[in-house]
Amino acid sequence: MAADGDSMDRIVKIKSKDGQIFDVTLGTIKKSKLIMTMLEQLGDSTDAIPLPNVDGSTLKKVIEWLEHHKEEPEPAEEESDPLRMRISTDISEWDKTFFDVEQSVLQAYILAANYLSIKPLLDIGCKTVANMIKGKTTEQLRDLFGLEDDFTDEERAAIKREYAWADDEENQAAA
Amino acid sequence: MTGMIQNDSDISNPAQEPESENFLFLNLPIELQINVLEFCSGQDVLRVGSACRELRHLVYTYRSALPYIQLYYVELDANRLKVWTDRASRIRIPAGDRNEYETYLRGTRAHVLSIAEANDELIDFVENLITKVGFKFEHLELEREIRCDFERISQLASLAKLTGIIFDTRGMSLDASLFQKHGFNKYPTIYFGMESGIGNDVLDECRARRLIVHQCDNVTVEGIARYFKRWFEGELQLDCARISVNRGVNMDVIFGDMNLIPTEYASVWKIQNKAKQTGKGRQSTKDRRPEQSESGKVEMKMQTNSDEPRRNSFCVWWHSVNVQIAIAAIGMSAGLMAGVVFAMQYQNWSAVTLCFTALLFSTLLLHIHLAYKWQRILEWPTALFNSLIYFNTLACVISLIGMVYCLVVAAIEGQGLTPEGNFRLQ
Repeated sequence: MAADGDSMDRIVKIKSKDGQIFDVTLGTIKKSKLIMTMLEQLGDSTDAIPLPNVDGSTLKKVIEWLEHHKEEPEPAEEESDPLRMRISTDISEWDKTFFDVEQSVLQAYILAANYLSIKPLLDIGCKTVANMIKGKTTEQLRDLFGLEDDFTDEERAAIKREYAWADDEENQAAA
Repeated sequence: MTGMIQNDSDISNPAQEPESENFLFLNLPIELQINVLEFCSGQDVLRVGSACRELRHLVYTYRSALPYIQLYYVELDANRLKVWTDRASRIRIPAGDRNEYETYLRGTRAHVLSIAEANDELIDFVENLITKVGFKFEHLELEREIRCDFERISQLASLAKLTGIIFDTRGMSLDASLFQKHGFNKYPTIYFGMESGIGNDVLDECRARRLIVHQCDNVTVEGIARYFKRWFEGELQLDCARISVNRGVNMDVIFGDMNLIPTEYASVWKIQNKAKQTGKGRQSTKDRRPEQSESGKVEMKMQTNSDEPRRNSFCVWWHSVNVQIAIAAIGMSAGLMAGVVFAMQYQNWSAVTLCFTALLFSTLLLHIHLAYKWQRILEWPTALFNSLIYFNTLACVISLIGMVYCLVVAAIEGQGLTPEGNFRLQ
């Protein structure tokens, strides 16, 4: 689909799973690969595009994020890191505030970004979670993610042996 | 926001309230879990993997796609594996079968892999680590001896996509043709240890951007001069070079016919191309700026053990490890002889105790110097260093106070060599 000039002002209707319908411009929604693909398939239809996996409140916030970032170009390819670790510290203050929400809401944003195929939003969400993980001890991670320690004593001993490197930093994190 | 909410009569599925206040990581699709972990360090990933069974399985399964665990130095020989996570922290890996080592090195990336007495079996094992568990390393250090064909080393180096190679071996039969044939000249970093036996012919083939030649007997000043001349004439690129030799180095011989000026005189020389400093650029062979010179990168360092300008040669000699070893040995023999004499001749047991204490500390000093000379000191843990420093400082202070006290008391009491004493202050 052509995505330049006046077509960017075209109004697109999208419908959340709880039936709320949002009017957004093509220029705003263009970062969602899912919606762009659906628009291509629907042609000139003016029906609201159904998004059965995203609730209204989350979709509203996603549109707010898209609106704020609509002028930004697609992010450049990341340089390959020798340690295969991607950078998570390059989050803008606006995005930090945007993601400064309850953890269940953050999870909803990430799932919505993934469903709508909005890579920049998804990456920032994942970076936010990664920053929550960094430097935490295993016990703190269990608290963070609501996990149970379901290892047997034997498995626990094996982990302690295999994960000697992690233990080294765990001591520092706990200090 | 352009988005405008419209009422829809078909609101049959209202937004669900979150069921948990936690971030339910396990509820994310696996590709998103991996996506999150890609932004974490290798150590963080391991900690996530030790939180519960499901995450352990995830981390184990996708280990090869997740960030590496950065290690500093991995030392491998036929019987053991030692790992330094950084310069100061060593993790002792219990001696075990090689499968255990695979577990430890899965998904790790080492700055240096050191193989002692490399043979076909060890090379096979390391190749297996690379292909099977994703182990990576930037530099390969070959220690003590090489007991396999250079071809195997070359194959391993290609497989590992090395940045550099360190020959810290004894009596290596690596001549210029073998050096070139096996492609060792293509690595950006090359180190030749003092007993590697390499000579000028190998140095002539070397194209390393970072070169260390450590007291190689067969490398002469002329060989070093040729190397730098190639750099100066733009034939090879050079980021840094550290060359120490056993014999005297005359800087004029090395740099005499190059248009270089020393910018700093110290144990480390920094020299700068005059052409760069004056902004002359390429004018003649002598004035031309080396090809590799990036902005402000023409500087290089060269360390010598002797013949350094503005440095007292006596200081150089005095601080050499051989002299320090000799001093420690003299201290040992003096303590031993004095102790025996005080015991047999004078039966002065306090003096005997002091003499043997001196013998003990001299022996400790000799041990430290020998460990330094043979580079065994690199394996000592930091805690041992700190303990030695504190212990010796304390012993030194106590000994100094004791000596002053004894001398003062001896003078006041008129004590002599024997317990009875034979003189008194007037």
